[in-house]
Amino acid sequence: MNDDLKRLRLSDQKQSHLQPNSIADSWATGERILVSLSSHPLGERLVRAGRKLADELSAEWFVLFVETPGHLNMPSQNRIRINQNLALAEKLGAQVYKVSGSSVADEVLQFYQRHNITNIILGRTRRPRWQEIFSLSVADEIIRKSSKVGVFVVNEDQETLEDIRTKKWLPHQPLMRYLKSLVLVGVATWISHLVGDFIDPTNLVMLYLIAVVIAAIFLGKGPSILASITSVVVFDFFIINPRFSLAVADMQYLITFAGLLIVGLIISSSATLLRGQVEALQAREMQTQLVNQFSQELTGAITLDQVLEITLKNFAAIFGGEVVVFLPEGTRLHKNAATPHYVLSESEIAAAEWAFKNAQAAGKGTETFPSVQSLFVTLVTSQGVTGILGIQSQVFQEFFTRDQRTFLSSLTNLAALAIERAKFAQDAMQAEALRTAERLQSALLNSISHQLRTPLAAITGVLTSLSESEKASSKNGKLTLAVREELIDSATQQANTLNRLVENLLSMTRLEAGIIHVNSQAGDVQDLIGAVINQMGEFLASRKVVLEILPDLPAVRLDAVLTGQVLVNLLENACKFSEPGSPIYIAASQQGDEILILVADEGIGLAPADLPHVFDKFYRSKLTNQTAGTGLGLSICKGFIEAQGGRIWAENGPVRGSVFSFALPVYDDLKGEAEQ
Amino acid sequence: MKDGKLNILVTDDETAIRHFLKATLSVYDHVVTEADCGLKTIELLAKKHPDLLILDLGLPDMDGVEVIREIREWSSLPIIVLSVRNREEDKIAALDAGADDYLTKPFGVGELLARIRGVMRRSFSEMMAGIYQTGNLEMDVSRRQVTINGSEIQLTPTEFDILKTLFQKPGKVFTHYQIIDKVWNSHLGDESRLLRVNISNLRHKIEPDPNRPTYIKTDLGVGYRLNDNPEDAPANSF
Repeated sequence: MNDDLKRLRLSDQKQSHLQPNSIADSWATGERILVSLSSHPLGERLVRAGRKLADELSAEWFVLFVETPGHLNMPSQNRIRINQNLALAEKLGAQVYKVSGSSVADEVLQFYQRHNITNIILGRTRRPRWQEIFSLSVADEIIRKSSKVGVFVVNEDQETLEDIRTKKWLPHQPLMRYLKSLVLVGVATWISHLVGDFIDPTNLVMLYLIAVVIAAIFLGKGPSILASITSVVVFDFFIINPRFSLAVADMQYLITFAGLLIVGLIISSSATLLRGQVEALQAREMQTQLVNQFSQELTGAITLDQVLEITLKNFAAIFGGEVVVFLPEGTRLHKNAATPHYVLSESEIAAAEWAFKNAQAAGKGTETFPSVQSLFVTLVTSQGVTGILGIQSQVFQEFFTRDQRTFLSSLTNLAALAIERAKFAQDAMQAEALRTAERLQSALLNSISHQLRTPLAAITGVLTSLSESEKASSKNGKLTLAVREELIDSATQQANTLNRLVENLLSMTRLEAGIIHVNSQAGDVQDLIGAVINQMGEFLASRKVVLEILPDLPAVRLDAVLTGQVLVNLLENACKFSEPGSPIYIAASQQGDEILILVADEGIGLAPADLPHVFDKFYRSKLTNQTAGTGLGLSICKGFIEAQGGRIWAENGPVRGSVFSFALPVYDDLKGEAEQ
Repeated sequence: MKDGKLNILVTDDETAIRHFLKATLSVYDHVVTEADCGLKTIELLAKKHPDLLILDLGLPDMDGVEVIREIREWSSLPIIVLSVRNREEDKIAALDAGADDYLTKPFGVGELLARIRGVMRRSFSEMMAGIYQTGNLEMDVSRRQVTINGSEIQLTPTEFDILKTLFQKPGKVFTHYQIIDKVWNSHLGDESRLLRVNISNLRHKIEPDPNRPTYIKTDLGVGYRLNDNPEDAPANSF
């Protein structure tokens, strides 16, 4: 990361003098950049700097605008500028957040903790020196209070980004706050001392009340009670005559004391109550925002895997720990997704299963399996428990507040609904696929039964007409010899067609069932082609078969029977789709480690639209619908060739006709023997 | 057997096939006896001494290949297998067991009659003198001489032995195993490559066009056979 940062150039043309300030926390996943935006004109530069840094670190980046009560009276031009800058940030790819709170620094710090921010970019405006004596700028406050984070500051009067090394971290020690409350009382006393000669002591009480109010708002209940009590004592000691004594001369001051004490205490408790309410409100707002973000991300998820990934990511980010999702498979739970470092113990798995069976949360913070490290909550929808989500996080203590419970369940409900939706979608897709398969199957059955019945009908027709002719007594009913021979020839042809169809269907079935037995051995291409031509005999008798078998081809690794069947099918096709009498070419050559065999004809060729589909099962070209065929031959060829580790393809001839080629590997002697 | 009339035993468990064969073969004056299982086949063989057995492989009581093996223990009776099993493994198994020929269903009657003729011719031609001939190819075993169109061809001893093996039963398919057994007398594993190379060389020496062999035919995946009728238009084997 050091080098990356050094290489950064955050402002145009000028090398920024960046110093890496710290090492990213080990639990931070990747870089995350936060730009804290104010209404100041500096805003645009901040946003652009954020974009640059995010680009260079390939980090996620966030833009945060904290709306404080002070913003209510903001001039409208500032409001417009803020909106412009936020829109700009969104355009540049930032995740934009708007929160309200009393202190910009506190909100920024809270945000950075929740979102695992690794770098913060801030603006620092020019301020009179004297102001810095009394109060820290927002930037300084953030720098002081943020630990382990890179802070970059864009100065108003400097063109460059300045990296601020995080200074010593000052924790919110309670002691400090009590001391501060005492300082407040001291300040009130000092002012009282200055003006005490002109103002009635009873009015000076107001100064102490101011101190108590400030303490109550900013320092909490304890310090403000301390301030109330010390106010009474100090007031008595320093202001009321006799000075420097706790004795009271005028007894009516006792009423002043009582008033100061009671009012101080009431202010303490009500101001802290208010503070608590504001904090709770802020927490709830933060939760709402997290839930919104989660639900937004889920909206974009389509598949179950996406939903699970988003769920894991969000839960891990929100609770800062490891997350696992179990989904049921049948009656058992199955670990479907988990963050990479989740280690599940056996008792944790038992807890998850208990949670699933009983549809109740189990694990840390519950009554069941409270000793395990993880909490397992149910993902429930109207359909029941869709799964179990486990979280291993330090956030969870031994018990839950109502708020935590509500928050957790709103997140899990979202996850459950999304998972259910994704599952439904998946089921619907499977059902659709099944329906398609069924449609195909019934189309196929129709086609097959049609093709089986046609030759059968022809054969039956011939046989019955021959039978009728035999029975006929008169010469009228007798068929002439020539007609009889014609009928018998056609019946024989139909029977052969039927046989080939059955053979093809068997081959297809064997291919699809994966029970094709490949007996690959060294084979001689010349021998193979010669045998096939011999086998096809009469079928090719009317054709001129042109052979171009290169001499001295090496042996091929093939199953002679399967490859022979492929050649037979290709030759039959070539005959079927070209004019009777036109030549058919068979060529064999070597190309690298493969032997290429092709069968070409001078027929009608293939339509470009058909080329990608000719090897599909039952695919029939529109061009050839008139020609008898099953749409099985070529898909069987493909199956047989691929079963032998070869490949097959179709193209159109250079002039006309189609060319079907297949390539099989050259037989490697060593390899062949090793396998034997 | 007189005037080409044969006593044929037909074994098939399908009545329709038996009836069809009986009707067809009777037309050619052959006498047909029927058996529907393996045991009955063996029993009838001993009783009737037929000239030829046409055997189906899928029998109800035992496998046809078993029947062939059993018969071959005591008889050299010509056997033609007639089966729906058309896989090369089945053909090889039947041929290796001792079947003389193999025909797959469905088949043409013409084809069956040709096979019957071939098988019968071979079973009577074995006693011929040491000179074999088919087409223009002649082999004189005793002088170790092979001629094509009258001119002598130089063959290596292995090529000669292969050709001699095929010549012993012209038209019959010899499986790779059977040829290797006869020529090399061993099965070390490398012979099928040698056989393939030798057949290729042999063809280049004796065939007019080695791309379309007329003398030595290949039955893909099964074996080789010598064409006993080279002038014929090549018929579908098996």
